[in-house]
Amino acid sequence: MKEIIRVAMADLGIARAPAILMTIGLGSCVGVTLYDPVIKLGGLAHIMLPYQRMGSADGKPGKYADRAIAFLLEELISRGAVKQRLEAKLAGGAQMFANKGSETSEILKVGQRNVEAARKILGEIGIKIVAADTGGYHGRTIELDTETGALRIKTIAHGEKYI
Amino acid sequence: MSLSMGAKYSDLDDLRLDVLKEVSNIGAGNAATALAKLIKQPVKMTVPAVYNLSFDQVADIVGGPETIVAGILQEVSGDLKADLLLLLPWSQACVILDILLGRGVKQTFALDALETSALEELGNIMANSFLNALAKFTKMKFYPHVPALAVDMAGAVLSLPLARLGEMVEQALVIDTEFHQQQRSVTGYFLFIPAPEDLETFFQNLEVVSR
Repeated sequence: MKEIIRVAMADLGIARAPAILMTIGLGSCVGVTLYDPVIKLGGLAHIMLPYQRMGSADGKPGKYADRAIAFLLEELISRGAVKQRLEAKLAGGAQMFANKGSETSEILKVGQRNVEAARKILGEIGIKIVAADTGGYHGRTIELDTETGALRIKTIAHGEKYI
Repeated sequence: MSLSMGAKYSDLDDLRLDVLKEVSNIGAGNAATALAKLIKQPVKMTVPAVYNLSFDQVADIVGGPETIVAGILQEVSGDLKADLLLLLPWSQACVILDILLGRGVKQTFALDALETSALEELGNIMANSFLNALAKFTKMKFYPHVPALAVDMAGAVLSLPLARLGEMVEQALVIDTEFHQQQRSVTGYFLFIPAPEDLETFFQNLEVVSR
């Protein structure tokens, strides 16, 4: 039985093979995983919001995409990962509720903005995104197998897959 | 001190927490009456509990982030912006739909148009009753928006109202009232999540009214 490390909302985790990094119930949040296939080291962040701006509240290191990705990268490198080898995968960023003409419909798109921010930040620091399963209108639970780098995606009504 | 600039809810003193509990109690009492009328059966409710939780802990109210729920979300604007979220664990949602529509739910973890609108209507009636009582008591104005439904893991359903808070606060202030219908043994969770940036003004206005 492999060790399963659960990452909470707005938090992040790092693990070596053969552990599994998992997070439950990504909705508008986006899950970002970084994986070094040579040393079989992985990281996972459960990100709630795109950017930490001036005056944005603090919180756990996985809360904002910009801070979370920078933090994951630093932690992985300090444990022997090489940036050029890192493979990123994204999952989540759904729109959980339909837009029915709400005045603040902007927040309904927070999932989409989370995905866009994560893609942009990863692009800027030069980490390749090898797979993604984002958007739609449903939640996702994800598990990163640090033995293989496979990301398992589970949903309640949209099946299960590996990316 | 204003709550808007990353302040913590711990700045709320006991008196204000009691006030929140009291207004929620008045609102939820009215919502319980409306619910009882709708399902034509008596409904019990708990005393509202005020929680100051990390974002991850909020789903524990309904048994954890993997619990499958039907969530009816209603955004509120006016003198106090807020989210009202009625969470029904899947099995409970099915019983309520059986009571409301007189038939079983056809699919697993998915609702058809009729079932969806029945639950949205239920959320709407409870939210309106809650807000009417609140408005009467506080002499303030609240405007509910159109309700929207999601059936999914509680963590995913909660991600939207929590994202709304996330920019402003490190923790979520949630007032939870639980409704229970004994005969059919149904429990529903009614969450009142006030916008942190409006709370200071809300309390100030309330104090003026009560003086």
